[in-house]
Amino acid sequence: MASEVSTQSDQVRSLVNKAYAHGFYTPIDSDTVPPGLNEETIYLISAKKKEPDFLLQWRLNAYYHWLTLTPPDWAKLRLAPINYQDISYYSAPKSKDDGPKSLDEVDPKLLETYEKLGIPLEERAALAGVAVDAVFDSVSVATTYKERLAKEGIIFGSFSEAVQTHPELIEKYLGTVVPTTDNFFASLNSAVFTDGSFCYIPKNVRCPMELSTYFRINAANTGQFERTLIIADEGSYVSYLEGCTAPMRDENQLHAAVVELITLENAEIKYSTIQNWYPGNEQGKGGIYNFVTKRGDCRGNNSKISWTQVETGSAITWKYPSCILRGDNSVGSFYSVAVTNNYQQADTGTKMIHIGKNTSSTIISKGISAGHGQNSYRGLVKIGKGASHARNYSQCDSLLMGDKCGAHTFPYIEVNNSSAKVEHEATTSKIADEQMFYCRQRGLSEEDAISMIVNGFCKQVFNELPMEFAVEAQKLMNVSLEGAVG
Amino acid sequence: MSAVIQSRADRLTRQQISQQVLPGASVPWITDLREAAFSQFESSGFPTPRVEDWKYTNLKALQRQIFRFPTLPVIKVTERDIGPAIIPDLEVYRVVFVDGLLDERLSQLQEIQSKIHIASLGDQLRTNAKDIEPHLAKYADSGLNGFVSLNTALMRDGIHIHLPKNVVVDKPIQLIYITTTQNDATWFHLRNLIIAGPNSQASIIESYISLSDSVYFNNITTEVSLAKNARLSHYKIQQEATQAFHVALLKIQQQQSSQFSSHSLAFGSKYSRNEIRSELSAQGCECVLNGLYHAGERQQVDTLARVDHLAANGISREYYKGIVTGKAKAIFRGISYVHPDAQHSDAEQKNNNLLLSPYAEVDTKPQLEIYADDVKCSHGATVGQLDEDALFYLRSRGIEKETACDLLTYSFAKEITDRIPLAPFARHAEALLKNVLRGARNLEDLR
Repeated sequence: MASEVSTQSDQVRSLVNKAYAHGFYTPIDSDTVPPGLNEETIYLISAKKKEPDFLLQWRLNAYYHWLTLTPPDWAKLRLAPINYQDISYYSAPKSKDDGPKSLDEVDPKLLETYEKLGIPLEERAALAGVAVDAVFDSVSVATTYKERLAKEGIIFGSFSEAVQTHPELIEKYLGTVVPTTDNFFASLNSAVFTDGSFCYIPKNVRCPMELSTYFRINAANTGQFERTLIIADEGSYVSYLEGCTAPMRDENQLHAAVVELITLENAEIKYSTIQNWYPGNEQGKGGIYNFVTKRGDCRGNNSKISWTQVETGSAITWKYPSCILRGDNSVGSFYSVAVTNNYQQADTGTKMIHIGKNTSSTIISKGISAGHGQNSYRGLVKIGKGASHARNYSQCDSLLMGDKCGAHTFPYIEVNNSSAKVEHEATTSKIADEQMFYCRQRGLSEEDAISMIVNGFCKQVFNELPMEFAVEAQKLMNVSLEGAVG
Repeated sequence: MSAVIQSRADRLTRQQISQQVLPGASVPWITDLREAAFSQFESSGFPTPRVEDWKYTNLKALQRQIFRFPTLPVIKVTERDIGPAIIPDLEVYRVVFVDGLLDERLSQLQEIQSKIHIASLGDQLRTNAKDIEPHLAKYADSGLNGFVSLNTALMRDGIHIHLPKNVVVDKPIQLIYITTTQNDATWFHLRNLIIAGPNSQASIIESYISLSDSVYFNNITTEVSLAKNARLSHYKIQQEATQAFHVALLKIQQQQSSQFSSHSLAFGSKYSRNEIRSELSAQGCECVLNGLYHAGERQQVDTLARVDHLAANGISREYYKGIVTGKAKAIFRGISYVHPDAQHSDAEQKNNNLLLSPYAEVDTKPQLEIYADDVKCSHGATVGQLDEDALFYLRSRGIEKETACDLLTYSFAKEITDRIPLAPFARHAEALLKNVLRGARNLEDLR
């Protein structure tokens, strides 16, 4: 057993030494605004994007509120203070003028970048039937399958485009789930967001394909402030995928996105994320700071929102995809796998706010810590006074690999209704010697055995991912933990 | 005799304190300790909901209240008055505190003084302070929260027990705290210090009862130190008056292979806080925290149970169950903290709540923080109601609804009383529980 432990720690070391496969930097001539944040910056961003007046006002309100806030310190995260004046708040690839209509018009360098990532845009789009709204830095450069979606009446594209074409929808829904005053990072995002995705599914339409966006940070020193808004009108359904990778850079880069989901009566949104931003090197230097506010509002009766996330990247992850179960009989779920290795830190979880009657929610969270990684689950289940017969089941399990890492669980349960049933359970352990023995005895190498056990540990979450993503997630897991504990 | 001084806690001044005759005033280290603690209180005040360990707790009523420093008891307490605290069929060494001061007449100190060192803390501070200098305020840090700092600054009496090496105390020591004050709201800052030497064994029972129906505030800090292989069982029954505030901290430091268990029952008070913090500071310690709380009407019952695994091979268990009715609020916070070198730690945490009224509230936060990999840790928490099917089963056999509900509630709670090793105490706890359930139901009927 002692020898096993030492081999495991050897493997941890070897994983640590594995270089980040997606780390490269494409020198593209960026139209970057000098670093700094003041009112001017906001006027500038708004003017560059030719935004209507209401949006400018909205941004300014957010900015004024942000000035009164201090960064949150309650999360179990250790980080150097961020200088918000050192960040450039606007960056767009040069070729944005006259926006490309087809892939041929897209900057070839950009396409090359995607190629390296193994996401050949056109092929992937064609083969998988996925409409990709690729966000490179802050401006969308290519959108496929647009026509097909348009035929169904679905609006899907970049946020800035939607601001021009459907300002009424933006005005009606923007900030109604995550208000500008919600928290430090959401306020910042509201003030300076440059682009993102917008999606509207009309009444009784079932979106014919999985929608997906690939985010990618490229230009150095540019915080990326994405804003995503998805509205599923009555009786509609959409499955949305989001995946991230980032090139290797040495400075910490801030990513403060906001995602808002709205489901009206009988509608359903499935939102899946694979997050694989650059996690920093084995000394914990560099890496992305990921401060994300994600929230879904089940506004109508019988509506559903489901969050699935696989978090393997980022130096710091601060992310709590939440559901407000306002409509009667609405359903919220949260499936998460979070991996922290080297000096990565993750403080992630969810909030399930039960307001409507007969609402139910499920939380399945799996945390894996290796190296010096710190992994926290922080979740809230709140059953309001009027939420009769609400039901919640939460399970959060942690797997520890190595004696320098940590796994923490902070579940908050607040129940105000006596017909509610709330259950929470959590376990923390390492891979059991018996499990290892069983696999090894049947001829599996130590590495295969661990990978098998880890994949089994995460299976409940992977099963929730759409097929293409599930495969990618397993691959990602194997890469992240190759030698890791693994 | 001290001057009668009344004050809100946050308006308390040094001058008011200096007019109090507090034990140990002539001993420099004690006055320094009090001074420092009061400075801490001045800067921190009582905890607010912004402090994570006090989130959900509403202390406004306590903060608004004007409290008077205690005077000598007016009512002469008799054997009959302490009746409710007597546990049938259990022989104990009895120690009685009336309004925060030891009552020698009702206590049986001499019987046990031949075997162990036991004295009132007030006496100890006055006459033999140097013996407790290495221990007092060394386990419960005055900076932990405003209540502990206030306690350290204003402590007057309590019990000091020192178990010598290898001594096994044959009968449990029962500490009965009885409050008699009428009219004026009074506060009592009780301080207990229990030192268990190597291989010693004892059981200690704390009972809180009251003859009063006015407002009062018991602020209790108990420090426990267990040396190698020491074993201490701690029992507590809290049956304060309905207007009372009860804030108790029990801080335990455990040395190698020592065993500590706590069995606590919280039934009374308008607001009660039961905070237990144990540090397993050497290898092979065991700590079992077992508790039951019941809150009805507008009661607020608040529990914090924290075990710090600082060394390897520690075992900890936290089992808490709660029954909440009326407009009451129950708060539970469990923390299992496994420090980096505490390999092979085994920590288990369980909190189950029965929410029986539409106006009641339960907030629970079972928390794990783990920095070692070879550990076995788990926690579970539930909030729910009586099982409909079980209720139907009973009713279909002709048992009326109230009785069926009581039966199921009782069996829910019995899991906790079943864990109590001291049989007479367990029986007593069950009897009290039955009374409480019946009382709660009658009130519901009246509404």
